[in-house]
Formats: sequence, structure tokens, C-alpha cells
Amino acid sequence: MSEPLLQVEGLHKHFREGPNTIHAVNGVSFELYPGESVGLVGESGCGKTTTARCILGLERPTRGRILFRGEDLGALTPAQLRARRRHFQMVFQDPHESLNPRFTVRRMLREPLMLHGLFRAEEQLTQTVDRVNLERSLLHRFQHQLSGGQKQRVGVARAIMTSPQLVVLDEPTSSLDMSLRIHVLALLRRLQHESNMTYLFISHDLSTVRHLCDRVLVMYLGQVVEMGRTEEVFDAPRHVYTQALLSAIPIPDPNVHRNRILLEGETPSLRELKPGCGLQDRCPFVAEECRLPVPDYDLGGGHLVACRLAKEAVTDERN
Amino acid sequence: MDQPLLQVKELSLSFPRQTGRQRILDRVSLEVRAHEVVGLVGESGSGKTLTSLAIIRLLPRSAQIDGGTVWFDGQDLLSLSEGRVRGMRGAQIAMIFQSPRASLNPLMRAGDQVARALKQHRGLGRKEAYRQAIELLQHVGISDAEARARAYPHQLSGGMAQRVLVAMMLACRPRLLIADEPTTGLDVTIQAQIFELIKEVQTETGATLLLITHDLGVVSEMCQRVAIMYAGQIMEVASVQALFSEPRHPYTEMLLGSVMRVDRPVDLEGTQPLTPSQTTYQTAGCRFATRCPYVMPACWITPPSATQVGPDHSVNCYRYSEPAA
Repeated sequence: MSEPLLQVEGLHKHFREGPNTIHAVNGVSFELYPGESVGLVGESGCGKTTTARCILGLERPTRGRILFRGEDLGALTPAQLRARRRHFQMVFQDPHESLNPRFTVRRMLREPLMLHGLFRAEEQLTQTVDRVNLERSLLHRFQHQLSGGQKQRVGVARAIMTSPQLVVLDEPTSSLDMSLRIHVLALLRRLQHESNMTYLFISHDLSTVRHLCDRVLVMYLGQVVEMGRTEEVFDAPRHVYTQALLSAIPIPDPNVHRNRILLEGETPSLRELKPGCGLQDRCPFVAEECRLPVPDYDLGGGHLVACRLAKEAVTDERN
Repeated sequence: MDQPLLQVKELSLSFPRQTGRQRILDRVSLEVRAHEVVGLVGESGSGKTLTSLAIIRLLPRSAQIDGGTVWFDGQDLLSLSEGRVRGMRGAQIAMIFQSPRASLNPLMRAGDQVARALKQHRGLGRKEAYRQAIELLQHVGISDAEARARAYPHQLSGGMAQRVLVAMMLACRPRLLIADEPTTGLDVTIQAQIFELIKEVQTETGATLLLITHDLGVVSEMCQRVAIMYAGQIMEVASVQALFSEPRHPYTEMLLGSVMRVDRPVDLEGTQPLTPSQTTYQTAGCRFATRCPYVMPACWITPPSATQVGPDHSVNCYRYSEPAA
């Protein structure tokens, strides 16, 4: 396999909140390879956005390293980091909040090029506008004159202006209607294939992840509990949390009946973390060993699971 | 057959615009029978929330009803006095809104709010009402109910707040419950819990439920019948089985085609956005005409009326009925 584009090693991010510490991310490690699309899924507060913000250099990790093309981002000076920024971009969740209301679309798209000294000609703007299926006449509009779908496409256009290698997409479709959502996903996939970009796609919506991503990382309480190829994780989830998450999604087909794993209660507080599995107080299959730190069980093919129930799968395969 | 509990007949509604009035709801008809769970489905701007607000008479002031009736239990809700309607809200018809925390009084503790509903609707004394409020909170799955009852809404999570609202609804024992996207903004595992709870409560009390949603997965799990709305018009009404196995309206077909399933990926190519690009509809007829692949001349002139295509299955489309001459 080729060199990883991005390596996240033992990432921790804690925030101070008065006398408390919020343990947002607790030891996350993974790699992204060029041209792949990886989904980072989990429910609110699981640390997926914080992880992304650390990767983009918007937050300083409390512990751990982030290497982009082998270079430790934490060791760079601010000026060096700024120079690298054209290679990793982000599309934000709410296009309404993330587009400057006082800029025209033209200025929003020109800005990243100007910042990195890449602006050569007006064609750069019109070409990108064409690529994201927007009309060129929209270049003169302000964000309030655009529809939700148009705004999100401007957000995508702005992110790909500098021809980045890595694009982090934070819930880019969650504010869109379903028929529009599928359209934006198809667009994202086409753009990725055209320019061989790497996507880190953050979402709580597992159906969009299934449609866009090659691999998926499932986060819970600041830790990755399961990762693997998308079909493998979706068709045969091994971690109880992944199983519960998947079984909670209603299927639009009255002929499909599934056993639902209902988790009790709600996500525990990130202020005081217990040792062991984060799911121990909600899991219907909890055992004594779940109170101790859980190792990652390797099921082969990059499928890693931090759940005692996956242990049997590993021994089964070896026999 | 029994008279339906709720019958919306040809309801039309308009809002003032700079250039005259603009019709938003166009002859919406909908029936909900007693003890039934009906889904009202549409994308944003389809008028599903306005329809429910019209039923419970909580429309914004600028809205004007241009015609139609809303029969509930033998009376026309639209012609009742404000005082009579207030007496029915909560007691007869209750509504759960999209943002649970915004629906609770921010200055009142959760337990007091439930107790207040009990005092008003069941005429209980203060102490007894509070005692029963705690019981109801336990009943809707709030652990440590006594402590939670002392919490203010901002101290509750979204899922908890929604449970408190369900408890208030239980306190009132309404005959019709309207739930407008009750799980928007909640995580899927919490959404699953809330829907299980609503289902439980519905079977237990025999309440009738009108569930407003854009999620066809939720419809498939919760509802018996479903009405599909587009741009303020009803397109198709069917049993859930029939809707998914034999959708008839072109819009329904395209909507089902754009659903991303987590258990079975679909092809992303070839789909197109369906939502209307603007709300100044250029047609007096079917509002889907601008996007419809089967559009015919009649579609632009008058909207088609409902045509029966099967038991419990009607479609508003000229493909299934002769245009009136």
C-alpha cells in the first residue's frame, strides 16, 4: 500500500471547563491513504468534530501527533502551517453560518486563491463553478440570495479552490432535503474521482456514509470503537455500539424487520471517564472485563473492534 | 364505516405577499381514523407543518384560511370560538413540536410543568398533581425522576425534554396527538428510544397519532397509513404497505428513488432534486407539473382530485383519472 497521506497517532484533546476537564478525544489513532474516502461517524459529543479540528490545526492536541505527508503538524511554525493549509480544506456543516454574508460568491471563491498566491485568472473561478454544477451568474450573488443547496455547493467550491489533497467534510448534507442530499453526494463523489482527493467525511447519518465512503470509523465517547471497510462494518458490525447505532436507523421498507438493540439511557458525561469500555453502563451484554481497558481486536483486512465480543471472532478464525 | 376522528376537507390557506395573496396550502384533504397512526410526509416547504398548525388553530396571524373545513369529532374546528379551541387544545388535541426544549417553559421546573397540565386537565390538587407528575416522568423512562423533576428545561438533554413533553401529553390524555418531527436534532439511538416510547404510549392509551416527518424510514416503522405532500398539495394517500410496494404518483416514485438506505446502497447517479425552486407556483394546476416526467396539458389548468386506485389508496394525478372536460 502507498504511503499514508495523514496519520493520527494517539490523539487526545481535553478542554478545561471551570474546575472540570472535558475529555473530548481520548486516544484516537488512524491513517488516511490518498484517494480514499473515510467516514467518521458517531453521535453528538463523541468527539468527531474535535478530531477533525485537530487535524486541520484549528485546535492544538493535548497529546498525540498528527502527521500530514509524514510531517508533524504540531512541530510547524504558524507560518509553515499556513503554507500547508492549501492542501487540507474543510466544508462546514451549516453553509449559512460559514459563508461571509458580505462577500459575493466570486469573492468567497477568490479569497483562498489570493491568500495562497494562487490567483491567476478569472477562469479559475468559472471552471470551479461549472464543476459544482452552479450557474455562472451566481458569482455576483450574496449568500442570502442563494438556496440551501446552492450555498452548500459554494462551500464545496470554496474548499476545492486550492486543489487540496485532503478535504474534511463536516456533516455537509445534514441541512439538506433528501432529494437534494443524494444530489450533493453524487457531486462530491464525482469531484473526488476527478481530482483524486482524500475525504474525511464526518457524519451522524450512517446512510450517507454508506453511500460515499470506502472505510468507516465509529466513534463513541472520544474513542474509535470500530473501524473497517464500509460494507464489512455495515453488514457485520462487531461492536455492540455499532450494532445499536445501525439497528436504530429506521429502514424505509415495511417488509424489513430487524432486531433492534436499544441502548439504555444516554451518553455519559465527558467530565469523568471510567476506565474500560465507554458503553459499559448502556450495553445489554456488559461483563466484568468491560470495566477494564479494552484492547482493539484485529479481525483482519483493517477491521478493528474494541469489544470483548469480537475476541471470539478472532479466535474462531485462527482455529 | 366509522366516521373518521379527524377530517380535513379541501383546506386552502394563503399568506399576504407584496403582489397580492399567495396560496400555500391548496385544497388539502386528509382523514385520520380513531386509534390510527397516520404519517404526513413531505420535504421542506411542502406545507406539512402548516397543515397541522391549522388543525390545532395555532396559525400565524397573517395566515388566511381561504376555504375548507377541519372536522374533529363532529365539529368544525375552524368555526369554533378561540375560547372553545383553547379548551380542546391539550385535552382533546395535543401537539409535540420539533424542538422539545423550546416547547417547555424555560422558567418552570420540568415536574411543575407536568403537574400543571394535570391540575388543569384533570382538576387534581397541587400535591396530588405533583405526585402523579413524578409517576408519569418515571413512566416515560426518566431515571431518577424526582431529581429530574426539579430541573429546568435548559438542564435537560433533548431526549429528556422530549420525554417530559410525552409525559405532559399523557397527563392530558388527548384523543388526537400531532407529533411534528419529534426527533429532529436528537441522535439516532435516542430517536429510537423516543419512537419506542411514543409507540408504547399509543398502544397503551389508544390515542390517535398524526406523525409529521420527512423520514420515510420512520413512516415505515410507525405508521399504518401515509399522506404524501408536495408544495402544499396532497399527492397520494396510501397504506404503508401499498406506498412502498406500489407507489402511484410520479412524485412518490421519485421520492422513494431518492431515499438512501443504510442496509442497501442505491445508485447515486441519475437522481435530481425535487423540491420546488420557488414558492410562487406558476401553475394553477398540479404543482409537481414543473418536474413531472409525465406532465400533460391538463396538469397546468386544475389540480387533479383524489382518485381511488385500491383499497385505502388514492392518488391525485391525471394519469389515473380523466381530466374534467
